[in-house]
Amino acid sequence: LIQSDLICQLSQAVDRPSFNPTGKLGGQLTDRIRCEVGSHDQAIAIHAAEWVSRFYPDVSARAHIDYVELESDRRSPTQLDQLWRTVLTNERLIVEGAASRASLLTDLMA
Amino acid sequence: VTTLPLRLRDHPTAGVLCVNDSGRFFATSASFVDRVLEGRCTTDDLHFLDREGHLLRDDDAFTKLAHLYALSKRIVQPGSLDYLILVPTLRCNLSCSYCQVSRAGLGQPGFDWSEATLAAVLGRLDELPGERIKIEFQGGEPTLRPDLIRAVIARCERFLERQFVICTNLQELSADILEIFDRPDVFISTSLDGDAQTHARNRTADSAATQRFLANLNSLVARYPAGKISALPTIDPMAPPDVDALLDSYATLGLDSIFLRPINFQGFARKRHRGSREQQENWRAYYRRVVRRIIERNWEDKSRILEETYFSICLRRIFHPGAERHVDLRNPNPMGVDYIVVDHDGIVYPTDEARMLARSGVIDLSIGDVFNGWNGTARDELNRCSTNQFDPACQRCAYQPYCGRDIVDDIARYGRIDVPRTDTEFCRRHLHLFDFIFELIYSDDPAARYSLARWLRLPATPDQYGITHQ
Repeated sequence: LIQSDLICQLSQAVDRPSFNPTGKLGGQLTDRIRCEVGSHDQAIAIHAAEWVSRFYPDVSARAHIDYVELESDRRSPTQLDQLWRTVLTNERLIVEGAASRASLLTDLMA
Repeated sequence: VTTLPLRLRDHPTAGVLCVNDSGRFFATSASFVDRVLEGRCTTDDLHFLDREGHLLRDDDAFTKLAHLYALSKRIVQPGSLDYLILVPTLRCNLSCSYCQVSRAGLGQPGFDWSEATLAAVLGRLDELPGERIKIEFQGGEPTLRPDLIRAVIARCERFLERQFVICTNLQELSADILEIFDRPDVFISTSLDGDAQTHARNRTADSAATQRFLANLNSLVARYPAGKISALPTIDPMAPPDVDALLDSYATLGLDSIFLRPINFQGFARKRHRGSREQQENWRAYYRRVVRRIIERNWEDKSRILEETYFSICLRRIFHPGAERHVDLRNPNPMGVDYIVVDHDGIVYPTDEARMLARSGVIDLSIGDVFNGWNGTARDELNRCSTNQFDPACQRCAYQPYCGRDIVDDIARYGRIDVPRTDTEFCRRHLHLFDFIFELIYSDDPAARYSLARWLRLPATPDQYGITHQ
């Protein structure tokens, strides 16, 4: 259905004495991941990054040309990775389905 | 060409939630998301998506038609006008600090319907084409003018289905009013902020008035069958009542539903409760505590079921598309079509909040009056913006099929309607609420499942409410 050459790599957990995916204390520990973005995904990834913090206020995202950085003091790197893949997939489905959705709505409103 | 009309949400407890544009949903795992993202869907994935109506192919007219039908159930098609909020007087015998309409004093002249306004309202009722009518009398305190209430009710005798709701503070119960209340088509709605102390602090200001209200409420509860009386609290998030004390105050009166409302950023509250513009995390945490406690109580004592009204409305919007007609959560949210508000001076507003904004001097969102009608450009202008269908944030939101649009709320809080959706209190509130609902939908807790079934009006508790695909 969908092709992607996006590679997301966990890079590092910063400022954390130990990894504790289930018991994070808000405001104390910040996790950051860096997700590499393939050339075909750059436009979608930039849009997706813009929406991350809007829908998930505990996460901030910064899009660069070929990678995206996400950080949160409430989510582990694994959780951030899953979140990014979800947001990216969502954005892709929105973009790919835009024409179809518009056509369906036009049919309905007619 | 094949498309997946799905939107995804990383859910705090259910994994990844996938919601079809028509509202069908399933929970899934990160590995399924990876397979979709990387174009590695298995035969099993495709079979599942196809079977559940999530796969649209250009060459499959039947599935497309089924999807269109399901989609149409999510889009409000307003009928003719059959729901009116009438404000026969703006005068009130209380002075609550968060009064949403900046009520007028008890003896102030010029805040009741004139003879001409009454005649025009009755004339409008005569023009209605339908066989159903619902009228809510608001105020001020509408029971100060039983003569106007009686005149309206008498004019509605021709409707096959009639329902009249009188929203009253129950400070005074005259024989006149009791006679109106005794009608089987009349329902009573009042405010009960919790225990006597909380109610006195928020509304009556003195214990004698509070005792009078409670005595009146108790006498009406004893006089009428269940379902005749409803009550709702207004809660100050900065000083919310104890959860069990609040629930007890409702349960002991035999009231089965409680509509938790934080102070509305309207009327006097705009000045006296400035913090009510945005509901902070403490309100949301309180809301969750109340609903969780309701679930526990329903499980402990199955002889009666309590519900939080707005939670149930949103829950039913997920499972029963088209069944709910709550006018504050619709998409589109048609203005001045099937529902209007007629103020004390005959001015017509699209919603009660619009009336409050005008009364506060914030903005005039009136769409006409009962003398000359309301089908003009002001109404059309509002309706052009009353959908969530084309908002870029809503288009990306998994909860869009269940959610709505309330431009009057945006204007009340931000003075404009083009604030990014996710920055609005409306959006934050509903994201939180639908997250919470799906947390319970996918909960293994038998108590949660038991309450959900009752709130959905199901005859029994199903094994599961939502499917999962790994």
